[in-house]
This record gives sequence, C-alpha cells and structure tokens, in this order.
Amino acid sequence: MHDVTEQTRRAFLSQGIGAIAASQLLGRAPTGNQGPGQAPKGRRHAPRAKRVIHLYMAGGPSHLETLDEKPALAALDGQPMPESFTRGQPIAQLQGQRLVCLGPRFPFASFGQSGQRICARFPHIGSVADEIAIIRSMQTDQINHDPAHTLFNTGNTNPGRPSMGSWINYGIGSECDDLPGFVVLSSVGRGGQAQPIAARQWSAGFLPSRFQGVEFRSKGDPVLYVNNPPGVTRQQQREAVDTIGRLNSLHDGVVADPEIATRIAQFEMAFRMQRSVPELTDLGNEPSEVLDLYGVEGQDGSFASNCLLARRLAERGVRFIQVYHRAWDHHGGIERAIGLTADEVDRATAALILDLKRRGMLDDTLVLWGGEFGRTPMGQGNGRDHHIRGFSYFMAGGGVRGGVSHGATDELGYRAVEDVVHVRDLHATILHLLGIDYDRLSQRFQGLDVRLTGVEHAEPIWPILA
Amino acid sequence: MQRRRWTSALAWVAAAAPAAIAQSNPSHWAYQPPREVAIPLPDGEGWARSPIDAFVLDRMERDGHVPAAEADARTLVRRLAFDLTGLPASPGQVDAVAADPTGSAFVALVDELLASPQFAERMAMHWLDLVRFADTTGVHADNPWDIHPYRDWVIRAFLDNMPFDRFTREQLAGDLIPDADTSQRVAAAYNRLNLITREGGSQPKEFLARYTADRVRNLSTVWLGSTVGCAECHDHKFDPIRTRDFYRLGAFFADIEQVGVYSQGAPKDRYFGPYVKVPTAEQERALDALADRAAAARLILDTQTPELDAAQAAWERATLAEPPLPPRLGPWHAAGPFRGKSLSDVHRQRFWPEDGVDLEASVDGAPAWTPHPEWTDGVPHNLSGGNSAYYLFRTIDVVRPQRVTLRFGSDDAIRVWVDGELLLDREVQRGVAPDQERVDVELAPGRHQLVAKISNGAGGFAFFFRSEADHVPEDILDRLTTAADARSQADRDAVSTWFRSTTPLLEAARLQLASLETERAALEDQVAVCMATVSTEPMTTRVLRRGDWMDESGEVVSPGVPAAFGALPTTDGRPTRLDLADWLLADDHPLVARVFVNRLWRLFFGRGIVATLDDFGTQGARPTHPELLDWLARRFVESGWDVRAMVRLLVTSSTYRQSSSCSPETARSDPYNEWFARQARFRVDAEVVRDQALAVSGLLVPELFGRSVRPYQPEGFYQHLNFPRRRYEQDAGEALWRRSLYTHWQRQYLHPALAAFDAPSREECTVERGRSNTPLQALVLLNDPILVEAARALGARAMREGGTDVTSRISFLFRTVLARTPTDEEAAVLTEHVARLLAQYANDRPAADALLDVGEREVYSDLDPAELAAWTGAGRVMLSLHETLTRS
Repeated sequence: MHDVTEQTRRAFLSQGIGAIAASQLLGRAPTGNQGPGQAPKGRRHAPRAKRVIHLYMAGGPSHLETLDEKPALAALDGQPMPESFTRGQPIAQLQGQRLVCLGPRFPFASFGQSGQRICARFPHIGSVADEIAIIRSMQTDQINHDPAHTLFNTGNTNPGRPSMGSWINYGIGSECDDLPGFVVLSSVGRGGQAQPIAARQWSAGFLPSRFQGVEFRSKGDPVLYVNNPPGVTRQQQREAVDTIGRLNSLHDGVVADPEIATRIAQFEMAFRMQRSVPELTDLGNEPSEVLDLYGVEGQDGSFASNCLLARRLAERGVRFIQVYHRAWDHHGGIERAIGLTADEVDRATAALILDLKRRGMLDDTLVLWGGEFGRTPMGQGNGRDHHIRGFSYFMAGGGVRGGVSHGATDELGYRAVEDVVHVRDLHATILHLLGIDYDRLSQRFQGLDVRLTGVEHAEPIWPILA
Repeated sequence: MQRRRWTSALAWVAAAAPAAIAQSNPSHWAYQPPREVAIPLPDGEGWARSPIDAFVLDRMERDGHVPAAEADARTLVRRLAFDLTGLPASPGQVDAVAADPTGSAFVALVDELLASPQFAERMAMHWLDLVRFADTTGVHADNPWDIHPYRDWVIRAFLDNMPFDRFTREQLAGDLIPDADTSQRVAAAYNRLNLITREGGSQPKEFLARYTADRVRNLSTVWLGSTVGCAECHDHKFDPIRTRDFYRLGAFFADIEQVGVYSQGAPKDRYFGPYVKVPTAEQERALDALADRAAAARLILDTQTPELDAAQAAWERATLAEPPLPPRLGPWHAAGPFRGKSLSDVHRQRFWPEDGVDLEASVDGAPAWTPHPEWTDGVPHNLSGGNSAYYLFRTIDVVRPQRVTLRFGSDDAIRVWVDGELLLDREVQRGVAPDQERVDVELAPGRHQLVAKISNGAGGFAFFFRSEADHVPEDILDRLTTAADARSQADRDAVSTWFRSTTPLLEAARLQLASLETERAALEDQVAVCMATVSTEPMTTRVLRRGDWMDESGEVVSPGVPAAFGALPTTDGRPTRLDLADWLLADDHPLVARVFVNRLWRLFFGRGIVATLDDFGTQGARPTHPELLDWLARRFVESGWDVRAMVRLLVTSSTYRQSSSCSPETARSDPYNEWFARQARFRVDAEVVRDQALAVSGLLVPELFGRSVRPYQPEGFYQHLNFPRRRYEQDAGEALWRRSLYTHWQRQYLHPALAAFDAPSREECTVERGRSNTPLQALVLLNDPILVEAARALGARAMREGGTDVTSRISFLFRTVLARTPTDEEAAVLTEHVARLLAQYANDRPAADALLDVGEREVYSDLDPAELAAWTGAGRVMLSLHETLTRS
C-alpha cells in the first residue's frame, strides 16, 4: 500500500497539483512516476489493442458442445470412461462415482473460408469464424466456481489481489473522463443454475480503489448512487457541487492541501457521470437495424443488450469491459441447457464482433469469449461436471489473427495435450496486446512484487497474434 | 502436475542467492529482541514532553529539521476526537481546551476519551480489519454465520483495557484455558474467522489446506508482521522462514474441529461447525428464574401422595385389564432420486403412485424400493442429488384406535401421505432440523401406509423422523404384571413415575411445566450464538510440497515455531495454541510488541516507524526511528501490555500535537513525513464518514454491542448472490442509525458506501486501508439516503438551535460540523446557496416534500418544508466538504 501512496505523492511532487488531479480521475492517466509527456509506466511497446471486452461465460461452458469437436467421445457414449484419463485427477461433484462417457449432444460444422469447426448450435458465432482465433488447449488450476473465477480474474486464488481490469487501468490508464475505466455488466440465463459471483472478481485488491471495476446494473440505479436524491434537480445538484467546490477552494487557500484539488475534480467527475451514465445505458437512440443485429428491443438486462452496451462503452473509451453471463453451469440436462444458452449468446456475440468491425473498432478492440473452466467428457447424468484439464476460448480483434485455431485436447477432450495455454498465458496475451510488458507490470505487496501473471512462467500465445 | 519454471525476469529471484540470505538474516534487526536504549538528550529545549519527543527531536536535529508548531486547539481536539473515538469533536470540547493555557484540559480530554466506549469501538474497528471479522463465510454463496459476539468481545476488551497479552492468549487459545468461561470461548472464535466454503463439489482436503494457510497468514501478519505466507509453496526467498515452518505453524491449528466443505444439510446448530451460546446477563437471569419455576413444578410431578397412591391402584387394574401397546413401525424403504428442473418442479411433480405403495415395483427393471433398516428414528439421514426427490415408505401397525404424532424435518420440501391421503405439503428451502413439521393422525386398528416425499433443490438433502403415541411402554407393563407387594423398589419407582407422567390428576402441573419449557425454548432461541473453537483430535499436518494439497508425500510435522526463532520449551506431549501464545508473549519476543506498537503509531501519526506494517522482514522498510521503536516496544511489555497507557503516551506527546501544515520546502525535503516533523493529514475512515454525519445531525444511536444491523442499501445490491437468493432485509427504527462498525459485513458485497471509502472486504487481513479519493465517493456523499437524511436532521438542528437569521444558522452549521466559525467569504457562499434553494423550494412544494421524505426518521412537522429543504441543502454541502472528511 505504502508504495502506491508514495508514487502518488511523488507524481504530485513532480507534476504539480493539476497533473495529480487529472490522474486521480477514476484511474485516468497513469499513476507511475514518469514525468509529463513520458510513456505510461505500464506500456513498453506499441499496443495492438486499446481496450478489451471479455464476454465471460460464467459457470463453465462445455467445450465439447461449443468449440472442441470430439467424434471419439461420441463413439464411446455410455461406455465407461477409460481410467487412464482420470486416475488421480481432482473431480468436483462426480467424486467417487462411476465415470461414464457422454457423447457430444450436437454436431459440429465447418464455417467460413477458414473452415473452422464449431458446434452447429452456434451458427452466428460460426458466421464470424474467419474473425476469431480458437484456443482449444486451455487449462486452469481451480475446479470450483468461486476460486476458479478468482484465479481467472486475478491470477491467484487468495482474495485481495487486483483483477485484470484493475491491473490494466493501473498500467495504462483510462481514456475517458466521464466513465470509469473498468465496467462490469451481468446477466442470467434460463439454462443452468445462476452461480453466485462475488464483487471480489472486479476488485482492485491492494491497488488504489479508483481502479476497481464499476458495475453497471440493469435494474435500479445503473451505477450505485448515480441518481440525485428525490426533490433535487440537475440544476440544484450542479449548484451543490459548485458550492462544495467553492468552499473547498476557500479552505485550500488556508491549508494548501493538494488532495483538495483532487476532491473538487472528483465531484466534477461524479457530476458528469450522473449525466453520461443514464445517456449511455439508454439504448433508445440506437437505430432499429442495430437493435435487430443484436436481437434486442432495448435495455432489458439480457446478455444481448449488455453486448450492445459493451460496444457503447468501448466507443466512449472504457478500457476494460467485462460482460458476465451467469448461465453455463450445466450439471444436468446439458442438451436442453446448451440450446437455451446458445439462443441467449450466439447471435449477440457475433453481432458485437460484426458491429465493432464495421465501425473500424475491431482492430483495436480485443474480444474474448469463454468461461472459468470447461466441462467433463464424462456425463453427470445427462449433464457434465466442472473440468479444468482442458477447455476452450476464442479471441477476436485487437491484434489477434482470425480464422485460426491453437492447441488441442486428447481424443476424448479430457486433457489439453498440444500447445497448452494456462490462464496466466491468456493474461500475458491480453497484457501484451495492450502494449504492456506483463513481467514488469507489478506492485510490491507483502514483500512480493505481485503481477497478474503470477510467479510462474507465462507466455503470450504468439502463433495467434497477427 | 506440470513442472514449474520460475521466470528469470523476476528481480526478486535474481537479485540474491536466497540460501545465503536465509543463513545470514537471523541477524536482521527485527529478529533481535528490542534493545534497551538510552533516551537521548536533544539540543532543542522545552519542546519534548516525553521520551517519544526526545527520540523524534534527536533524529530531526541530525538532519537539521525542526518540529512544526503546535496545532491550534480546534485542530488538535478535532484530530484527537477522530483518532480516539472515530467521531467528531464537540464544540464544547474545543472550547475547554482552548480556554486552558496550561495544557491540562487537553490531557483531561485525552483521559475522558480513552475511558469512553467510543474509544473501544474505534480500536475495535482497527482490530476487526486485522482479524478479517465479517458476518459471512466469504466463499461462493457467502452465507451469513453467527459471529457478532466475537465483535462485542473485542469492543469489551478495549473497554476494559484488557492487557494485550491476555487479549492475544484468549483469541488464539481461549478455549484451551482451564475452565474457560463463555467470554474466553467467544474470544477463541478468532480461529473461526477464516473463509470457508459450502460449494458443492469442492475438495474437502483442498479446503482444509486453505483454512490452515489462511490462519497461518493471519497469525503471521497480525502478530509477527511477517510474510510467512510466502513459505506455503517454497522456502521464503529472503526471510528465514522455511516451508516446513509454515506447516509447523499450521499444525497448531490442526486440533480445531472443522470440516473442509460445510453442509447445507447440517442441523442449524452445527451449520458452520460448533457454536457457543452467549446469553446476556439479563437472559441468564431469566433462564435461571425459569429453571427454578420448572424445578418447583417438577417436584410436584415427582412427589407421590396418598391420593396418587389410590388413583394409581385403580389405573393399574384398568391397564392390566386392557394393555395399551405402542404402534409398531416397519423399516423405511426409499425410492429415488427422481430428477426434475427445480425444487418446485420435483416437489410438485408426481413421479410415482403416491397414494399406494407396491414394494415390488421396479424402475427400468431394477427394484425401486430399497430397504433402509439402518435409518433409525430421531436423527437426520442424508440423501443425495440436486433438483430431485425421494419417496420414503414404511408401515405403521396399531392394535387399538390410537392417536399418533409424526414429526419430520426435511431439506428441503416435504409431502406426507397416510393411507394415500395427503396430510402435509410444505414447499420450502431449508436445512434439516428435528421436529420442523408435525402430523397428527387417529389410526384404526390394523396396518397403515406412511409415505413421505422429500424434495431437494441444491446443496444438502436430508430428512428427520420420529413418532409419539399414547401407550404404556412394554417395560412398565412387565413390571405391572408383578404383584404390587412383590415389586422391587426400582419397579415401584418406575411404575409410579410413569403413572404420574400420565395421570389427569397432575395435568395442571404438567401443563405448567410444558408452558415453562416453551418459554425457555423461546428465550433460548433469542440467545445469541457464536461460532466456537472446539479442540479435538488433531488432524495430520504434512508439508505440502509446492503447496499442492494432492501431494501426500511430504513430511508429517508437529506444531512448532519457525526454526530461526529458536524452539518452544519442551513440554509433555503435543504443543498447543496456548504454547503458541506463550511463545508470542515472551518478554523478549523480537516481533510481537514492535509490530503492535508500530501499527498504533500509524493510527496516530499517519505512517509507521516501519512503513511496511505487514513486513518486518529483510524486504520490508527499515525503521526510521529504530531506537524509538525499541523503546516503545519494551515500554509496552514492561507496562503489562497496557494498550490504553501506550495510546495515552502517544497522543499526549509534543510530536502528536504538532500542526499538520508544513512549508513547501519541508514537503520537498521530507515528502513522506519520515521524520515526523509535522502531523499527518488524511481522510477519515469509511465508518467515520457516516458516523460523523449521524453524530453532528443528532441521528446517532450510541448503543453498544448486539447483532449486526442493516441500514439503507441500494435495492438489488445482492442480486448476484445465490444459494439461496438474497434479499436485503433492511432494519427499521434505531438500528438504522447505529455506528457503522455494527453494519452487516457481507464479505462478497460489502455495503457499497463503506466500500467506496476503502473499507476492506475482510477476506484477508488488512493492516492498512487505502485512502483513495474517487468520484464514487462524491456520488455517495451527494446521493446516499443516509447522508441526505443526516443533512435534513442537521438542517433541522440549524433551524431550531441556530437562531432565526441565516448568518447565525450558518455559524451553527460550521461550529457543529467543523468546530469553528466560518469566514465571511465562506458564510457568503453558503448564504447564497441557501437563498437560492429557498426560492426554488418555496415555489415547488412537492420537490421539498420529496427531499424531506428521504429516510425513515419522521418529518419535522413543526418546520416549514421549503425552509427545511433549503437547510437540508446546506447540510448536504457541509457533510461533503473536504475539511469535514479530513483529520489534520
């Protein structure tokens, strides 16, 4: 903690009051100890992506019914899972039970010029096959939702570490002055149970709290406390902010406290947010053609409307946008559940990629699609259990090659065997594309230089980078 | 497991050869006991009030610094009140100190505040961050648990100025103290504050390893100021902490009764492991009185009189003529699980003929009914499967018309049929407990069919059953058949006891006893419970290589302290948490006292003598004033670990009383205030932002202790919680205006206004909160209903107590909130604001009413709404000022 304070203070001393005031605005501008005009602390090379949209398929999508085709598993449907695959492996809810193969519930098809093999139940995603890079060799360390999300977001399973979005804003700042640099959206679906999500997942951990993710809600105030109290007009709020600012300035004349300039600026920023947030979340001025593309009628809290909202946030310069869809925990009835969930995400996911592309934003917007882990090739009744040894992700835009795939699992989709990509490698890839040296973006905490990618070796997925 | 590679780019690995450091750093300053140091004699005369000042001034003089001037009385008293109580100073306190040039009024105020309950609350806020006290489990579903008595214990300990050694010992090992009382057992709940999971599919062994690691991290941060957590997976790179040391420390906690994955199906009193009951003194008295009355009633029931003798003889004859037998229940049979989409679905769906049972029935060729003779009555039995149902079946045979009471517990929903008739239908989501449901049936002689259907959503799945019926037990009947004069004393006692328990002659006493029992149960239900630390057979502790819980090849270790710190004195048998406490509290322990006084120093001076409060190791900051730190540490131990005396020493020093203002030159030459040549200036803590608003507006309810409270919170804030889904049940009445340290602390969704001002989630130990300055804070200050309500109450105070004209009311506001008078310019700015609002609200009565309607505190009907709305606006400004939020 002390280091952050010291850097802030040092930045103030070297840049003067105005500079620090600007740098305090929800993480806008870097916090490092560089002087004006220097490159931000975290950025070491030219960025390919300016911002990230993480379509976070929370609950753990089955790779076997989305991105990883396994005919051999279909052939073994109903047969015992060969023990050679599973011996000594951690298993979640199937602990101690007879392990039986469950064949994939849907056929796969070739899509696009690249001919990428994608589950036929996701034809819209298939339609953008030439834009996406599919990773079929993901691995994680955590087999239950809460710790797996914590690992995926922070690189560590102990609470208290900063999340990806916080690290990125800490490293290279935000580009907008009336919205937070890290925004979280969330929806629930009809298939699968809505596993809980902790606010820890978008916490700034030990970084200053201005780098924390801010949740935009679809019900109630879109941002907590963003609406005026009843009986207070926007003009009256303006006057209140002015009066507070004038009194704060008068006091600054007496005590010369640099924090006062920051405080005044933060009230201004808050006031701007009070206007910009409702404008942003009002989808009413989107043309009907755009609404049709995403398959929404307005802001209804659905994944599809959140995808559209994500594009609007990206347009306004928000650095890291995380769109949770809490619908993928398919322990039972996976065939029906995948169908329901596909209806919710397939079209909107493709729409977002197409929409970004036609606006020229896909080049510098990195889109990620996937969950905190995958699901077992073994059935859990007619569903699948959590699985960490092999699962899939796809990425698009922001310096990633389209129409390619990377890595592979074994013939039953149990274990990633070719070009294994750990979560920390995904982190390294994201940071690298943003122009950040992932090994150097660190913060001293409890005696350790903590970094998102952790202490073990991490490496960007070079073959999929354009 | 994939072999790990350590990235070569990491400076902290490459910078040094770890082995060499680990060998050499036992000489590191923090591993030597605090030295006896001479108090220096600095040149500057008249400034030093205490040895603290001598150390600080001596250090300043070496670099040519001079102390800042003493702060004015108003700044000093405001600072003191924030520091000692977390509440603003009253104008009267400022006046008293300002009026006394001798300084004795200041010291008197220090003593007054140190003795106040608010001091205890303020110190508790600090301690609760350290031990990660919260009201919920922290993982996955983040369910609430019963822990608030521990928080109250901490407050009471500071209120009683409990010495820090006892404070430490009772938390780590209160349960092991011989004849531990309730208070000590509550203190030991410290050991239960780690995050725990109930998530289905979790690996129990993995979580047991996590719980141990969590406890070791907390112990070593709070008491040792050391990063022992680094050694979970590898020997510490720089400090003399080996992986083995980490697990030996963990072994001290291996005796704590716990499970890796807690079960939703567990009965309520075992939900998160063992509990201790914590009655208030009043409840204890009431329970004693009830027990006395019950004893009197029981005496009547236990006393055989001649009248009863006669009645018994008549009863014996009648009973022998026609013996009433108990119903005979067949063994349970079960069919299932039958799966569905949801709890509601499986509960309502008819999977099976529910009105008649065929034990030979089969599903897909396999017999559907499985006998379960092992399912005894009176204890819960587990079933398994999510979103599924089981049918349970057994027969009941009676030989005469008989009234039978069937009692059930179920997790979750339940339906009960007798002879095909649906008698109970309860769609509910809950954990199982005895006697949750009662079904009374009048049975005709013959065989009857009892069918129960238990339906489960997620998590635990279980049922409970027992039955009661009026009958004479067989052993009594046996004794009756012996002629009265041939019976042994034991026979006679057994028969008359049974008789008295059923005879109508004693019905009144029995009813009275039953009603006393009901009363007692109701009262017991109100008694607070607290998760308890219960010592049991220690589980095996192994060194986990690379921290991998699946690796069982590591050495089995016994409890012990890090080898670099020596060894525990040899004792008989396995060292316990009491031995751990003794080791920490040895007079010459190098870390414990230093770490504690250093954190206290930070509370009152803004930064530690060692800036890294949580890292006294070789990678941490060096102390800026090593002699002062040692002197304070020794003084603390020699005083008998007297916390209040130490705080008094700190805040009465000249160092403390300095102004926080400094020249730009000083700011440049000592930007971090390392030499303490001025006081610190920082934003008040999250709780204080709200508590101050409550205090100055008069809304504050200063009650101490009790269950956590739920003040206003934005609708839907818990929408991402599940198992079960959560709805925030906002409190009503006084609970809305309690101090913020009593606010329900939901680890995964901490109250957003507290979180906005850097209150930690308390998932991990927090030694030092951030002090950020963000737009979200401005949104809270402007728009949070509690601040709007406080502004209204403050505005009403200005109108009632601040005189009749605008100027005097504005003076009242400044005096009440900031303990000073406004400058003319300030008064003019606020006057203009009030005038504008007054004009606006005078023309818009509905807007005024809407603003005044915020919050549950009743509207002040004696005040003009437009005027009060305008003064509410003034109150909002006052509560949002930077100066209001700043301790300087």
